[in-house]
Amino acid sequence: MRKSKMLVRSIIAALSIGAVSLTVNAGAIPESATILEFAEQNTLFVADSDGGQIVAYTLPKAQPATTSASYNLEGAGRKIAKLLGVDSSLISYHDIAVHPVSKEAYVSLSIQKDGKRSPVIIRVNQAGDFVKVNLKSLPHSVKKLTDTATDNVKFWRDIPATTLGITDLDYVNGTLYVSSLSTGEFASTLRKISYPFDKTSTTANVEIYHTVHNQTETRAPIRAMTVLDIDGVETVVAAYTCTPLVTIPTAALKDGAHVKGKTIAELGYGNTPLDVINFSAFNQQAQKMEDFVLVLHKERSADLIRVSDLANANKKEGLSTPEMWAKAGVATRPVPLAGVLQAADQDEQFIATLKRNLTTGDIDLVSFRKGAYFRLNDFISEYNFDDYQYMPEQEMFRNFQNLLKTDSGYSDLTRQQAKQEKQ
Amino acid sequence: MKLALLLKLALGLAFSSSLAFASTCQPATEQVKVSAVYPTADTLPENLLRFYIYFSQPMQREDILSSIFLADADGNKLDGVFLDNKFDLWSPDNTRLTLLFDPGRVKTGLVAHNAMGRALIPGNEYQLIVNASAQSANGCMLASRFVKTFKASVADYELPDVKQWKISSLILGSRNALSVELNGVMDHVSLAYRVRVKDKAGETVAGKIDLSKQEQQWVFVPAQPWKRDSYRLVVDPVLEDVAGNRMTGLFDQPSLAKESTEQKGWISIDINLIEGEL
Repeated sequence: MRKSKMLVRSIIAALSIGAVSLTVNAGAIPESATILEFAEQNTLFVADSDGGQIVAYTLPKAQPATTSASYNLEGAGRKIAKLLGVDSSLISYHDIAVHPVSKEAYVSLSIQKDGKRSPVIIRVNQAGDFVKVNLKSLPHSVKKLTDTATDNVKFWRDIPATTLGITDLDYVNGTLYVSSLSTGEFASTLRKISYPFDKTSTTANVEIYHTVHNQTETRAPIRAMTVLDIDGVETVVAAYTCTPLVTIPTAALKDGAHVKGKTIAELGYGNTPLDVINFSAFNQQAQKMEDFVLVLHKERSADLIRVSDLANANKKEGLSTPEMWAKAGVATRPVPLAGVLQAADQDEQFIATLKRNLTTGDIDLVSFRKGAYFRLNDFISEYNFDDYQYMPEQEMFRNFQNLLKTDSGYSDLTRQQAKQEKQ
Repeated sequence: MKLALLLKLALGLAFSSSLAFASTCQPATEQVKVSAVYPTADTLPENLLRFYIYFSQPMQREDILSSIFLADADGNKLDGVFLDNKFDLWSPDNTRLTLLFDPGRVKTGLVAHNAMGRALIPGNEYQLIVNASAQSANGCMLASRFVKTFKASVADYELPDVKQWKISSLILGSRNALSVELNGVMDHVSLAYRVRVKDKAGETVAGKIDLSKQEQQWVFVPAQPWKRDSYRLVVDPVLEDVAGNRMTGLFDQPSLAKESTEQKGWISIDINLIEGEL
């Protein structure tokens, strides 16, 4: 009996060594599922921060979405808790990602129960069909991020490996960027990992000038980041706690390199950035598509930044003088996304978000229309009264409000012009 | 023996737990305990960056900081000492916890430092306390409360400097230990992973690392006798001392005025090889 157990164990050990670069069909559940990131098509990267690894799951082929529709799933948290059969207070939410083909939302969370933390990924469509993703059934490959001595040196006592607490992932053109924090020595690193996974990875240390702290920092971890093209140069745009915004050209990320990031903005003290995403949106004033970076904050209003402004700031010297109380550097537009914890670029019209409902305390899964960045149904105003009459010169308001009403599932409340209504 | 067991059971009941709880966490010999704390010295600099706590069994990651705290000499709990953020600094096997002093208080010039100062004041005595309420992954509490008493000394602003290290000689044909006297107290994880002996071909020499003099001495015993070769001690420049200082710069680096030195790969130092007796 014992022998067979040993045999099974060594088979498992052999399998897990083989799993470094191979896709295996029978899957173990990761220790944790925190950050989610889609590659093209049907690959979902899941950061297993506790396990110090990234798992790339191959999802079944998905049907392309036929329409662009917003998510209006207020009270999603309660439904997810019911689906999982746990009290919603036991759930902590981590991330949202949108399937690039089906436009279904994937949500990562963990359940804390009886002293154990278990990871869950939920898939949901705009109709509110919540499904627990069966990770075990999915083909996957694993990339270990463990900082372990691989040589034949023994230690005076058992020194467990150091893992990397993963703070964010971004996938661009076959490369996965991973910002992380060593859970042993508390040092921050930025890694480049090619996908499909192989044994190589590139690890660089990033040094920044911290505007509020007025000092150079090497250890503070990137809290959230996105990778985008700035003037033809692939660039990491990274946000740190308390809240410098920094650019790092990806070409500088060579193995063992000590890279200096350029601090291009100070987004305000006493704040933790929660997410950084980039997307294209239609600019009404300019009547053309334009690229934006959106930084979500825990304590402050979200910042929307035009990539062209970022590019201009990036051409100049970085900030190098202290700024304690105000914002500095690149111009930003504060947008009303209070309570939004995580966001993902959904499609041409929307960003999908996980939002803490500040009234109910529940988790909402709702889309925001790009350009607007607010949901009309969150407000009651003069316009809401039945006897309010839209005048012809208010066409722009009326049309826009009708659009936002339709977005949030209230197409029955759209309004006609005053004259027509009287008829 | 039996009486002790009964007593423990009774105590367990009297405190917080159920009978089922107590019985699943027996026998006492297998109860979870703190197996080591690093740094091991009993005098530590006021800018100490972290403690490492080793447990004899895998622990529950959540809420560990509700069981661990720093206290003054009289046992009064001190607040806001350790960083409690979303990263839990556990080893993958859940046996080692990195306990990070709030860097905002350790570093000078930051709001937290200016408002609260450092947690440690030179000359004062402190206790690092791990309450028995810390739970193992199996839901069992510590066999007993753990206390490490130490005294704070002035800040450590000395960089690790390989030029100041005293490296012993090797004796050809023997397995005599290579000892390296370090300049200051180094981080024990750094000493495990960031220092190696290599041969001329660049291969890492197999052997066992020991630490002594409370992490001020690195000792290496080779698996095979020293051969006629050119051995080198190689050091990763990210090696840190207990205050997080690196060869490339202090942890507490107040401004851009003193930029950190560029890192250029591992540092290599020749080791003297002699024939015959020392």
